[in-house]
Amino acid sequence: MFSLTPEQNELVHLPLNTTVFLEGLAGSGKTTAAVQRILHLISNGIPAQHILILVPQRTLAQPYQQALSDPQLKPGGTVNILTIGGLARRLVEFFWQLVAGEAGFLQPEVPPTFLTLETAQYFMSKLVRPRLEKGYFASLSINPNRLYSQILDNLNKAAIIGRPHTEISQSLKSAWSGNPGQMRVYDDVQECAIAFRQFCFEHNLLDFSLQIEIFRSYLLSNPTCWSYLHNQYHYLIAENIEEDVPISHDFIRQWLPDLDSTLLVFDRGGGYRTFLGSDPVSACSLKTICQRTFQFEGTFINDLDFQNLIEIFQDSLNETPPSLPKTNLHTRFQTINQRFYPQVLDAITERIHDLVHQQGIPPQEIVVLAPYFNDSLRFALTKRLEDAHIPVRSHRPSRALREEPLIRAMLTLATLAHPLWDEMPPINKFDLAYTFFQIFAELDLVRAQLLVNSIFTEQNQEIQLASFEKIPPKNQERITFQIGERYEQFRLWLRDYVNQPSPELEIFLIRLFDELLTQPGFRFSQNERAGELVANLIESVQKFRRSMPLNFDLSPDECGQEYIRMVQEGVIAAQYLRSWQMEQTNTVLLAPAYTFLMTNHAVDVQIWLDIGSSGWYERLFQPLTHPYVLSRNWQSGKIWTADDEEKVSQQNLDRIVLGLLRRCRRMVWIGYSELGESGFEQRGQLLRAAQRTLETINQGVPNG
Amino acid sequence: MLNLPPDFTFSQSNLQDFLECPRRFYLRHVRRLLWPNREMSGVTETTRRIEMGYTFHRLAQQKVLGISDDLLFKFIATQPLEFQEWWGNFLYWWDQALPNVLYGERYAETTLSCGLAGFRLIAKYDLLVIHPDNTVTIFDWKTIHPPVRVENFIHHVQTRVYPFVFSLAGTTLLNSQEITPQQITMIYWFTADPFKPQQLLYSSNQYQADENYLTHLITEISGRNGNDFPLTQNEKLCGHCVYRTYCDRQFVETSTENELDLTDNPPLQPPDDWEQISEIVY
Ligand code: SF4
Repeated sequence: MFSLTPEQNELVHLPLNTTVFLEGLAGSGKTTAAVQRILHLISNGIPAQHILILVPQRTLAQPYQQALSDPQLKPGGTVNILTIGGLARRLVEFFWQLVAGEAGFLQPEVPPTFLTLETAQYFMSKLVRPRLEKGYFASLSINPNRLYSQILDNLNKAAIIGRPHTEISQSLKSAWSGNPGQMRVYDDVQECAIAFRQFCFEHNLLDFSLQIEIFRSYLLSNPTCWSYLHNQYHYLIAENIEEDVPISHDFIRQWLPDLDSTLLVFDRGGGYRTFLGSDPVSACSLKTICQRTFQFEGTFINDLDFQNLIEIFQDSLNETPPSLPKTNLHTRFQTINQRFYPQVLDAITERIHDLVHQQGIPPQEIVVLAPYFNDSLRFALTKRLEDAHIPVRSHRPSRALREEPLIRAMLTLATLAHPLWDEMPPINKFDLAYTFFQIFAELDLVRAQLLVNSIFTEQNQEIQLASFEKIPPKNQERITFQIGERYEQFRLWLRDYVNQPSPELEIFLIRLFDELLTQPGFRFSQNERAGELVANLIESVQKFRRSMPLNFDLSPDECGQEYIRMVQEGVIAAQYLRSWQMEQTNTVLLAPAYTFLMTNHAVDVQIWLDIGSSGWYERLFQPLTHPYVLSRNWQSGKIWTADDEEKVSQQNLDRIVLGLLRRCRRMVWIGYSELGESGFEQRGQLLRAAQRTLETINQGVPNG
Repeated sequence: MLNLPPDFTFSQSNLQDFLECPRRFYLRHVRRLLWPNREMSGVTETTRRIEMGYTFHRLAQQKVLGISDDLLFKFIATQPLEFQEWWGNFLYWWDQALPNVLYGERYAETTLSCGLAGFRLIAKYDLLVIHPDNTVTIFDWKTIHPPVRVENFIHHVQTRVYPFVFSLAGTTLLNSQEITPQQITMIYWFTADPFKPQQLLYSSNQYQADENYLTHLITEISGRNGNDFPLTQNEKLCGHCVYRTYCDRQFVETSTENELDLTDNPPLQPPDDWEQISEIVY
């Protein structure tokens, strides 16, 4: 049995029908207590199937999942763990027929189609493009794909604060004080948002915003749905409510009187997802409706020295007179300072090597964090660590498939195999050489280029691939006959395919994979990474096809063509999302700071990179939306000023830095170079705060 | 000792995978390897049937949740004729069964679990009916075509797991009252043969045999190491397996007697990527 503090113990053993608001900082033992409370409920005869755990993001469910898969747990039902989006989606599926007509869907008898991020973006592009041609958004120079996603983001923001989607521009305009031309942009945003919603109603499509809207406005007032909720769940545990959205808090407020027991867990230092609409203020207001409030002070993670470091850092961030170090903190907070960026990476690798191989710190107790992890940084550091025999993984939460070379090769081959597709970007020799390099085993890029130069001809935009036999013998020898044989296998397969009627794109991809690319001599044979990527691509194609309304009347071939074109243009990113649990755990983790925070776990050593970057605190440039204005906390009619911007930047920096420090047991190293990754001198608030912290540590060191 | 994922639980579908092919168990449930395959396309006959099966299960659940037949009917009218026939037969059977095997408290799509041999074993039931005399009927909708003979089901691991787990965990639905194996009946209901549901009565002897069998099976699987999951020798089983090209096995045309488990692995559901919206930078 866990040894719990008296406060934790009191909370766990409260009468079964108590509603509790539990608050504290990260590391104060809130989640541990909540998990034990659930186990206590179950062991006291509460049927597990009557318990719902609501989490803002699935990564936060892990401690619960782990505890609930314990074989010692009493036999019975199972606890459900959902996000508010997951719950809304489930209820829409169950009760669609009861609400679809009333909600305004034109075909309520037809099953709905749930859109993914990318299919929603596709339909948005369909509606926005013709408007772009008419001059909408003319004053903006922004990639159209970002434009589509920000309009969707506006719809989501309106839905999660429960405001009509027709009031988006009104809110944005009332806070704007800059160039008057921006007002027109907001009007354009509004028109596109309304058109998109209308389109969804006409075609039974549900993006995230519409699922939330149906949940809030129709399902929660439907007696059948409400009685389902009432019968199904009697106990609610809501984790990290400060990271959840206002609509989730409204739901809890409405539901709470109906529940036998509720435990709401609130991290006082949280709010990392504010840019996504999470609302700690609205979360905190739930305190007033709970019977009991628990405040957990103290920390299970930071020792006294580290707590002292946090105080000093906090003072440095606030630019207030620093607390004095109570002890020597040099080993707890250090810089890895070099003139050039690659030298920093070398030094970091050396230190990690020492930690793992000399000091015996397990790799999973080390994380390297940066505001963003771009591909070159990720590659550079991964390579160095692997060369030093340090197991490493980089958490790349989502990634566009088309950025993967293997997938780019598949897309080129799809275009090549469908010569009748029009308006496709032309395939040039380099594309093809690169594709051959990706698919033929033992072929290097130089010979791939020689092969393509020898076999590729283009007449009237039609590509011809000559047979290997026709190549001059000298070139054949250089390319090698073994590669020649594979090329012929490829060419004949393609010829056969082109001569048959085109099937669905998914079938093409599967056949290509099965019949050719996994054969001996091709690079995909037994290649698990390639398998995973291609499987993701097929899934993305399939979802695209399924979301197509019937009255679009696209043939399988046209649908495939449309998909490839949209991916090439970047409208569809073909994002794939990996589950954290799928990943190796005994490794050093490289991750964006925010992603690490949202896993809510502590490690021994943190290494912060790029601390001169403003990415630690500045919000992304989003000219079409505004996370702080489209929020319940924004006073309607108030103008957003530079002061407000600075205030939220400071707030973000405080949150993120303190959040990280509270999740660190032993030491933080900050890696920085005088000239940053892009060769410029480093500045920035975090760097300044870190320097002040170091000065304090240095000044206050006891003699000796 | 096998290094299983932290959230791993045993279920009838992963046990069945092991029994058919240890390698498939290993690739799918331990390694969780995604591998492209025809079934993924959603456009083959098999996937069309799987999808129909999935829709059937969801509608049956909606019926239990109280959505009226009229509303469901409008929905069903948009489905293929074969599906409409399934549903028509289902309703006919339902009305007839209502006063007897369906009489009582009904729970659709309910998951129960218990600990066994150091792991959790779960069972997801299509429908459970708790009758007023505290006897229980477990229903499983089978959308396989053609239906399988009852003898084939008796030795299917599902027939062991479902009543066994219910015997241990089902008291949660019976206000914590004890339940004996004799109180449990399992019924397989087939869309392809709706008027001949297959009924299996559970017993204490069978419970004891199942406990021994499942304990032994779980202990055996968890005690192996990663290299000890050989490819099946029955190559017919590779015909519809997702790892066919990974294992370099030939495509053999077989009937789909082994229906993809619709309850443990609902197929082809759109993803919840909106839940991970935070992971995408706009
Ligand atoms: S292809 Fe055959 S051997 Fe390979 S996992 Fe599947 S069933 Fe087993």
